[in-house]
Amino acid sequence: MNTSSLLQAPLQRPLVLVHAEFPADLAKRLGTLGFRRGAQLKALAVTSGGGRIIAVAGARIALDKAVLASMEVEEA
Amino acid sequence: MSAPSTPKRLPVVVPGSVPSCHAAAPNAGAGAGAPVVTLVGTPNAGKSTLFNTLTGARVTVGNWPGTTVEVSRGLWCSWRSDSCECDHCTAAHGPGKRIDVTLVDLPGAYSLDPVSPDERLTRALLVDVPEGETPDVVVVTADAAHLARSLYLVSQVRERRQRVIVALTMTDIAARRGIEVDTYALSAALGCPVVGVDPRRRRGIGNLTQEVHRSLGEPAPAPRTRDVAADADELDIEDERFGWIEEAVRAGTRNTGTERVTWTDRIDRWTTAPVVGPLIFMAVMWAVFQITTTVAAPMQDALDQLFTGPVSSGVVWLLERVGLGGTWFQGFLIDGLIAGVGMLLTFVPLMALMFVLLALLEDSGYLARAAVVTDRLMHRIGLPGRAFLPLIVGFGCNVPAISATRILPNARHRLLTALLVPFTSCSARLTVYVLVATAFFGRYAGTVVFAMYLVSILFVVGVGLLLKSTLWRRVGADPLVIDLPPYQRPTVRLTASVTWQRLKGFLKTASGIIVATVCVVWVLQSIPVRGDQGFAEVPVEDSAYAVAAQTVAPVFEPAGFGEWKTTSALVVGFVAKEAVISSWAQTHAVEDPGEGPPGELGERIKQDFAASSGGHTLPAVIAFLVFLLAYTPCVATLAAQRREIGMKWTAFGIALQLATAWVMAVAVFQVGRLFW
Repeated sequence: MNTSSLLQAPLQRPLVLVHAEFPADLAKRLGTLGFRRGAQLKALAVTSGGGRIIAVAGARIALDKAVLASMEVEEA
Repeated sequence: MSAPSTPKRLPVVVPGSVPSCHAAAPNAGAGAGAPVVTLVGTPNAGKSTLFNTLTGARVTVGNWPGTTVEVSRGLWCSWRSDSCECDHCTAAHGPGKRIDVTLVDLPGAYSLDPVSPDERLTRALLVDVPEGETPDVVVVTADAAHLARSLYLVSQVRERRQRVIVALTMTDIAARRGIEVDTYALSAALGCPVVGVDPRRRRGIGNLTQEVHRSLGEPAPAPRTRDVAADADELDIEDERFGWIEEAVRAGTRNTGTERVTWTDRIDRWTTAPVVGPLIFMAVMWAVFQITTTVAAPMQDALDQLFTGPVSSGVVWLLERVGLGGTWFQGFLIDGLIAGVGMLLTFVPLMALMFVLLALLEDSGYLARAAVVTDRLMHRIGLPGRAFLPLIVGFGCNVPAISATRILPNARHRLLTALLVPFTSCSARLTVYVLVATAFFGRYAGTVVFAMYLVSILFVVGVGLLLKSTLWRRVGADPLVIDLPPYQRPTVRLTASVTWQRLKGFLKTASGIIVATVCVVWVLQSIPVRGDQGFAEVPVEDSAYAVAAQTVAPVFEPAGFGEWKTTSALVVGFVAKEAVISSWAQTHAVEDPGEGPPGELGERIKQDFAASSGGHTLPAVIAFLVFLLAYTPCVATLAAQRREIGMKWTAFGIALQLATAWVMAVAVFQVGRLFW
């Protein structure tokens, strides 16, 4: 299983969320936005500040570097 | 900020309520005993748009008691037709029965497991109250283009015995993404009615209304059946909810496979890009800044001239007719009351423009992108990216900038930003900078004025870091997680409605404090304490106002400008910076130079600074400019702060501004006098 952080994953490639480590409140918020184990994601673009826009569950979510680095993904 | 420990049943009085022509009670709403319908839903799902469409102008907005969370409530007038139940009946029906409903718009929430004050309140009012005290109907707005996420709230609300209706929005956007929604199948899967609505274009409102009427006539359905063990932990419960949601989405939607690249995709490629994104943002901010200063300025001047010209002349004419011309009463009316009201109303064009621009930026979806672009920069002083907008606006005028802090969903961020806005150098201060800089620095005046703006930015950053490291150590710890809504074309009706609501709120709050303060200053300037002049006939230097200024003057001796004519200008500046130069001219009994060269006033001011600084004139002048920059902007800003952050924090802000201004002014003079 070739995993990487969502911060380093290739853009525009289908990804699957394998693992994430967050404080409880942030985990709840990300969970309701669709970031759950096994969720299908796609990193769409890099934003200013080094964050990324992630497509998940039909939505576009902007995340900063720290949050991205805490999510482990693999290519679908 | 936590929700109240004993949640009040809906409806309750919302502070700041105004009478409605429909309601018997003194709040917008249908009055006691009327059904209560609550709107809940995720942010950006069209909930507040639906609320505005259903209630029109019959709305009050205010903080929920004991919180800083804003709740809107309004009167929803609807008609239930005396018709048969068939779907396509064309028989003529009577007007039917009017049903008035109190509609409550709760803050946006992704879940009833709260992670913010807004969500805590939503939970308190829907879950933590006894079943008999919940709303009569809960309407959950669900975004058809992001259905799975929107239905999490539905899954939780359906776990209680509660009348629930799902108002499905954004179906057009879903269609563009190749998603077709079958509302009947979705309704069967969710166990509650699903109605497609487009509140921006007022479509589906009739169907929603009928569904609410029908629900009100039926008992609340049983909670949904849940497949969880009795000892299930939180993760198991969440898994069950998501499983239920996935089943419902599978049953109720069909992917047509015709997803196209949308306009949102195309535009976002630029607006959030690392280099182009910030450039676009600066261009938008420049446009906002220009509009709120350049476009509003002529309107403000016209209003000012209206009040100081025809209105004042008309009042003088009337008073002369009744034998009160030339009396103290005329002075009070013209220079106190009318001047105060006039000052308040000159802010209307500026505030209206600001609210229109805010509404456009929010409604179009661009504000979320701006927050992404500026997040890293603002994070350094403990603020999110969105806080950049109020700070930029503050360089035009602090009053609308304080109101602009409403775009920040977090109450602590709103508070911190509202405390920093007064340190942005507004355009009213500019007139004083120019006069003083021209009088003392000649051809370097432009450089000095530019330097004041740089100092202003340093103050914002410095005070922000100070507050972050002391009172708000955890502010700014929030990670960037922003749900980017699709871009939408703002609608005129909605923009006008939101603008009017906000403008009304500002006028209601600001009117008292501004008018009262101007009147108090007039009274002080009219009370004779020396000489034999009568009330309202005394020269300024023999008035109670001068005595007050002379009492305060020694405080500024360490800063090198402890001369009462200089400090009296600062006292007037506390009311309004626009009045500083005219009051300075008045105390020196010379002509107001207006926007022209300093002239004789400039010469008199030079003499005052030379005398008060003991020969160290330039450091005293710079210290004065620094004090002018940092101390309280004006009473209108205080009024706006009081509305947004309350009296306690406004008082703290005054203390912070005065302390910062005095300390920095003294430091500048005491260090500067060593060299000049």
